[in-house]
Amino acid sequence: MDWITWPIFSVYLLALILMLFKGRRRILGVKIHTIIVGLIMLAALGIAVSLFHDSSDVLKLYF
Amino acid sequence: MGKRLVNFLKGLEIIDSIIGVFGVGFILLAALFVQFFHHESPCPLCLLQRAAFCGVGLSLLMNLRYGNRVTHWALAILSAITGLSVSIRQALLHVNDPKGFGEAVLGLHMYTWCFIGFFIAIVGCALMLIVYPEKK
Repeated sequence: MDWITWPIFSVYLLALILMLFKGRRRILGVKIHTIIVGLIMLAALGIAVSLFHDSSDVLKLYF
Repeated sequence: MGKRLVNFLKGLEIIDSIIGVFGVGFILLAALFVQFFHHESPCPLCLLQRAAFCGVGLSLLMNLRYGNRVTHWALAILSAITGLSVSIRQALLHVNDPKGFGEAVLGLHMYTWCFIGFFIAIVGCALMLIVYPEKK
């Protein structure tokens, strides 16, 4: 499961770098503020998925 | 009177976010201290808890960068809930083991401290959502 933690930290790093720009600026028509919010939500989803994967596959717990 | 109260709260909101960011930074530095000076390598679940703390910290940092918004506090709560789930999961893994996993810090294991930290973060952010008016 630990392989997924580095992409999560990379997503956070990308969000931190994007935070250097003004939130109103746009990349491909999307506000930077919206992109950062999406990235943090994506990382939260990554944590939840990896937790579920760890619980179901490794310990044979099925919800 | 009401306007003065609102201005007072607006002044406090920056301080609250700074306290939150420094708190998360302190927790992450403490985890690194235990890792490097007590030679305890983090397990995957510990890494996920650190990632969740990073999420809480980034959300509070967004308050400082882009101003106080409901979205940022909600993001902090969301990240804290994921971290809380991971810490509960790890605590339940070792709840029957008298030694637990890793070194106990001040009588509690790291995952229990993480649980307390995430719980405080959730309650604190929810209180902030109640107290602070959002800037238009």
